Amino acid sequence: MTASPAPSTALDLHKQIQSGQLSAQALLEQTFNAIKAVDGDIDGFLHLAENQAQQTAEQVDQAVATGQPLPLLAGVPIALKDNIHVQGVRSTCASRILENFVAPFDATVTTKLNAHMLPIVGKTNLDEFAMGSSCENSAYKLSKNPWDTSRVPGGSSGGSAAVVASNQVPLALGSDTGGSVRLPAAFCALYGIKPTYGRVSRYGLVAYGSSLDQISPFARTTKDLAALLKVIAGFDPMDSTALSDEVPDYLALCDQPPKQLKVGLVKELMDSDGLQPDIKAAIDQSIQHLEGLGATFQTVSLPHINYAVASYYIVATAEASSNLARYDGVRYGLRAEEAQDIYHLFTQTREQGFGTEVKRRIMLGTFALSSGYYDAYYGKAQKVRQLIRQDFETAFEQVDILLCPAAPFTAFKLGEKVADPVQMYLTDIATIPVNLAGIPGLSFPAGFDSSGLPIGLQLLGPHGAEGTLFSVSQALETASGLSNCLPDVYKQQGVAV
Amino acid sequence: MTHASISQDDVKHVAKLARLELDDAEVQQLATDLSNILGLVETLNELDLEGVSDTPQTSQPALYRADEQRHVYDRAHLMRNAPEVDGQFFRVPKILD
Repeated sequence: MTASPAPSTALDLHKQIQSGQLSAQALLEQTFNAIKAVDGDIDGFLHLAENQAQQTAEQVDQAVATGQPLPLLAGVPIALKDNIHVQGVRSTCASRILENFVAPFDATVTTKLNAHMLPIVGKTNLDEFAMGSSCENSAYKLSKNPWDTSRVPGGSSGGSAAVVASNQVPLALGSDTGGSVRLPAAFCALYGIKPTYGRVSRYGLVAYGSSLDQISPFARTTKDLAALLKVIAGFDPMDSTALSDEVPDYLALCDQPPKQLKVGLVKELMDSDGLQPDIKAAIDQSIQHLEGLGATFQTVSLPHINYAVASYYIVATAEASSNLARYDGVRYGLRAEEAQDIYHLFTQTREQGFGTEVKRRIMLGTFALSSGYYDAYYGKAQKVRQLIRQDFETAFEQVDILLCPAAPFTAFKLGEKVADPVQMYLTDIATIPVNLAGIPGLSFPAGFDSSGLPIGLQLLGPHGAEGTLFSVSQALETASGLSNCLPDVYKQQGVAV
Repeated sequence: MTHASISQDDVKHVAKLARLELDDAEVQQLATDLSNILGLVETLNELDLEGVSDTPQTSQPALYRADEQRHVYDRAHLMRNAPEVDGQFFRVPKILD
């Protein structure tokens, strides 16, 4: 399968709406038609929010009719991962325990999307509570990779990636705790960015690993991605970890080509035995593109990066065991009907409500925090996290950005890795260190392997360097032509046509 | 440290702490899975961590907010998701005899 650009991007659609060539309501109708035509094969959406989306589209058309200027991206339909709250719409987190939970308030990102008048069309599938790398841990459905529906879209934000890559919507939000946006972006030929920790408010994102979680956007072009991050980023008094620095004009930065860029290649990720040869070739291709722009390259070492997965699976699960203690059948969510006393109300509710992977992570995290094991596991993992952070700091004293794979391989088959949790965890070897360090990472399409499956690479920068990542990503997008990539079969059906 | 091996009794103890009621098949599977995962985690023992801080650095100092009431949600609105209420409180099985 080859990629060729579809005619419209999110920013083009927005411009057409602003100029009156296209009405937001017509675009929304087209979107729901595309969802009805396509999503039966893809299973990206868990549920739709037609009424709310319709109201927002009407608001946009009224603003156009009365000559009001539209905010950035107004009228462009967007999908949200089902762990981000939209008031009055269910947030199931793809878990039985929240099957009927209706969000009582808006996430801060939802408030911002509403202020910018982007119709939120529905909520997308994920690994239960965002725990997984393939989207196969959903309690409800198996999302498929639009480039090959026998393969996974990646996880945990697999539904969001799948609906953008199958041309149902041009934009989506996911969340990235250990690679949950960058991995599916890579598997589905999308652009995705995990911003600096704190750049986007986590208020209204259902917590998994709070020191790692970050709401993160998907798009099919760098500029659409930059525009969406601009809309959702910024300080929020409701999240004490939100960064107070001003949000730069990411869209303008896309058009400022990097000058005298120093790029580091991560030795430990390039030398890895498990790296698929096609991915190595895609890296060489990207190096050539950037050399054409005057960039210089050097190899840098991140000596502790191979310990990142081990550190992550203690830190993240410890935080998860605490965050998921709130699901007890008392205040919201599922309640076990037959429980006779309070202890069994808790244990039976959680037994019935959580899936296998969630239980595994709660158990691992509880063990790591338990008396007698805390120093040996949690304390040690935190120290290693510190070393990984320092590795990046040292690297960024020598280079401006790092270029590395997003994953060691392209999309794998549904069912291929479910039986072996350790193998599944190692999928995230190149994305996890970025969350541990809190730095931004952008995943971009860099070609296709010999089976026609998308290859994604990552650009990593120091804290707050999103603008640099966008400018490099735009330069690569222009050089490679890998813009608005869609499988042929979905080019005609969706909103971008 | 010896290679991690998690027994079924260990699993049952942790399940109690985590308030999970596991069936026998789950206990058995989790003993295997957790042992395998901790095998991976124990690669951390190769590192000399003497003198390394275990307090994560943050990008900015902690921010403090004024101690004032804000964002008051309506009680009935918030309790709409509750499995069982009496109009004012959440209902649970009897805690004390």
